[in-house]
Amino acid sequence: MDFNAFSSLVFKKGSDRLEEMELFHTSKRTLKIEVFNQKVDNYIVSDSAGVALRAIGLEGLGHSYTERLDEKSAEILVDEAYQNGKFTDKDERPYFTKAYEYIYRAENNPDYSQDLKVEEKINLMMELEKQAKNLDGRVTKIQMCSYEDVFTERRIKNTLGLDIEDRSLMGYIYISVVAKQDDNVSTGSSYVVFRDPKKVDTSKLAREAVEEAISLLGARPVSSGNYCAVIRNRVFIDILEGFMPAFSGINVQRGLSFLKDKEGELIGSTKITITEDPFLDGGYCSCDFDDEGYRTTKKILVHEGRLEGFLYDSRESKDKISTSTGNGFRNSIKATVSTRPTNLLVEKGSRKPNEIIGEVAAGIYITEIAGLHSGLDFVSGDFSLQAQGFIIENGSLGRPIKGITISGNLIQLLKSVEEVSDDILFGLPGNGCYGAPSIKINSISVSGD
Amino acid sequence: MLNRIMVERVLNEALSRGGDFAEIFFEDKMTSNIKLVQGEIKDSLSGRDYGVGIRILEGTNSVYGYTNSSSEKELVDLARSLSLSMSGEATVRPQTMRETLYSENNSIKIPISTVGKKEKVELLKSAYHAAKGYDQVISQVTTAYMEEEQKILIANSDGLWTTDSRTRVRFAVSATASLNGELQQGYYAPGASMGYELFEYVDVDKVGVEAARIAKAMIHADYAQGGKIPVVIENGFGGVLFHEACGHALEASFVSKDASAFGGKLEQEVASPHVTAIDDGTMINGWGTTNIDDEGTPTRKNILIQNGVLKSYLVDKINGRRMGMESTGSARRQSYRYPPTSRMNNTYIAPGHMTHNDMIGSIERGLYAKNLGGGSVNPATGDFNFAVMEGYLIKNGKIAGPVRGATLVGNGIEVLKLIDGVGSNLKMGQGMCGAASGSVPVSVGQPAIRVSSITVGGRKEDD
Repeated sequence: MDFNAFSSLVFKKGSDRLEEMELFHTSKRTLKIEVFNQKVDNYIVSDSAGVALRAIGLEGLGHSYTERLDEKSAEILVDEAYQNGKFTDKDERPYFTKAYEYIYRAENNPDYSQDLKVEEKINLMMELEKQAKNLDGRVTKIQMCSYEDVFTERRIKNTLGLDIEDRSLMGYIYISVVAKQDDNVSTGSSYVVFRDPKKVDTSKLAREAVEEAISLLGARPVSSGNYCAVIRNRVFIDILEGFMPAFSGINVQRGLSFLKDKEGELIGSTKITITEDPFLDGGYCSCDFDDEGYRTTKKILVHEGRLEGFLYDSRESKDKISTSTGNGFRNSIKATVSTRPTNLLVEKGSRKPNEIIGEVAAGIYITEIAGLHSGLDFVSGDFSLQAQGFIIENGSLGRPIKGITISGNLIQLLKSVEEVSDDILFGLPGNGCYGAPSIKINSISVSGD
Repeated sequence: MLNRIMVERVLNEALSRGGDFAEIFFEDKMTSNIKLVQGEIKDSLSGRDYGVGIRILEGTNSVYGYTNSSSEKELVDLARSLSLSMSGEATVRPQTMRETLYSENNSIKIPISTVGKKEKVELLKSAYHAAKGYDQVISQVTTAYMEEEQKILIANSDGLWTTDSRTRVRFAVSATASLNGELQQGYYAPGASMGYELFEYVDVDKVGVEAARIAKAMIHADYAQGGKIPVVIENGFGGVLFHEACGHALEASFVSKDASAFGGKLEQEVASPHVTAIDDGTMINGWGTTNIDDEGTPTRKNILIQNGVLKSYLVDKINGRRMGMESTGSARRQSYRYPPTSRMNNTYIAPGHMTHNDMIGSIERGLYAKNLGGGSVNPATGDFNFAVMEGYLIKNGKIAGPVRGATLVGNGIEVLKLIDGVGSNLKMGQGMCGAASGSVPVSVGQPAIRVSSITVGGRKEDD
């Protein structure tokens, strides 16, 4: 059954028990290729779709979803949403969007990747693996050499007459290599996000991954203490993404964010400005409306260190009225709506990363962190993370470091920013798309030997 | 469900242009989640996951496709499009399928579908009040109830036709303590592969109180001072140490590609003689227990390390081919959206004889890690981390004041040799483990153990 028929059926079946209904439909086509030792080791194709229902009855809001689109499923979908709504808080609900005219702008998401044949994508990955393998004799294995492209269609239809849709296409290539010398083992990785795989420079990817692995051979801890540090863009992105739930209006209202009551206050150095821009040219999370159908808006979250506001979806409660900022998104049809940014960008400075490193007499350069899902707490703002990088001595990079942790609090970290570099990098799209430059901070706690 | 004639046609099509093995994985899963915040149900969500994955192997190469459709035409089409990447001629014909059913490790007394939502909501409210009422520093409490029933069918060209049904229930409380503008969290989330009878064993009010107790302890705590010190890691979720430091690196997906710190070390001493470690997919009603793995191989109890000597890896079919080893029943996947690979089920360090006093009494300055959070590892280097959710200083052989926010980091190869004491109080903890084949439920466990030296992440205020 196609979505048009299915949605009519759901709205009809629900009309006697439910006051308002909203269907969220996504379909995805994906292709994944993994190359190992010059063979296609894993090849995955998919074509899948699913529907989520949000319904408001006489009682509260209920959610349901299904990956099967037939008459029986439509019935279950309506009944489950109705049953789920019986117990939910009657004083808090989302507000569905009224119908508006929307014309999908195809230029936002050209379908480039479809031009390239599967064989050419495979060849691209074979080439990448070969390049990485041949760059340095100390590279013993290409652990992962993976290509994926994902074509997503999204449609939102509700009983207030809204019916809008868009689509997006995105691909990424990731490579991870293992290097060995004597008893030392290290790994290095690199990735690129793209819409057009023909524009990917595989030799650059191979070089970045290999150089990282080689440079980390023989890494060992530094002694515990407070260090002046340069934090690489890729690491800063990860930290920001981890703390993003603290910028969610609903978490703030529920007392689940350390940023509560800090609106208008300085939470960072004046060099830090963070914007959320759904219309960013070429942004991988650029879109005109969120998953509730609300129009997205450009906004400043932090202006020269001052906290300007939070991200909201359309959920409103009796005592706290908040207006959607167009940031209500779902991780999948199986998730409820929560807030996330589209493209989140930390404004860049004017200095080159090596100039910033050049000013550090004694310190460390943090190039990679791990343990984000457990060592970072967005409620308290605290973090304690596994890190690796290099010593900085008299403005130059020295020996590699691993086996240390960096610890602190986000506000403390942002306030200690002394310099912002000009090297904006966008990470792999996850819970939004994050772009940030490298930063220099005057002090961070390090635990090591 | 799929019928047999249809499955035969799909497998035939899959092997029509080469390949030596074809498999169908069908999944139909019902889930329900209810979440309460500030005394009110904020989200109640239920639904149905439904889809089919088809896999063809040719030696150690794999092609995989999935779809939500279960119509014969679309499945045959998918099998055909996958078969196009094979070399040309059919070499293997699917064998006649014989239904095989395996022993039931997870008996269900009270099916979740027989219990109404109202009763589940009452549990959430009760735990909320228990946690909220624990102490006035508790400023917010979130409670969550999760259930799922996953029905799968696996059929393959070796003649296998088997099914499994997996019911899981979990109850989680997250308590937030607030004092002088600071926030700290406590979390406790027991779960099992059983029906609603879980609540005959789990008292939800106690779950709430435990989360609140941790939050309260941590709001009154100082930050840990970092450095390399001896650590005593308490039982239960403390098993995350072994899971990260060694378990992942024993997965064939890394070992077979020479990307594991433990590769090529079978029968070698890799840990201190105190360490015997087991991964048991058959543990009755365990959170990570299934009857069969996601390739249809019966799960089993695998001894990974015996008295410090490495005995086994965790092996799935395709990586087993690379390594010349049989499957250990360890192939797992989150859903039909993932091809399976080798993963852990219920992993633990076996009990020893040391008492708490023996472990703590001899430490002059160290850390007692009472509750642990998640972690991660780079299997190639063995470098791992995991978070301490509730920690205390050890001073002069005694447990002293609470400390916050410590992450422990180390190297798997090194740390296993530094385990110099294993207690007798084995207990399991439940979590979700994410890797190449998605997020799967796993148990981790251990008795209390002592590590003679490990790096504790902490904060040192500027002098």
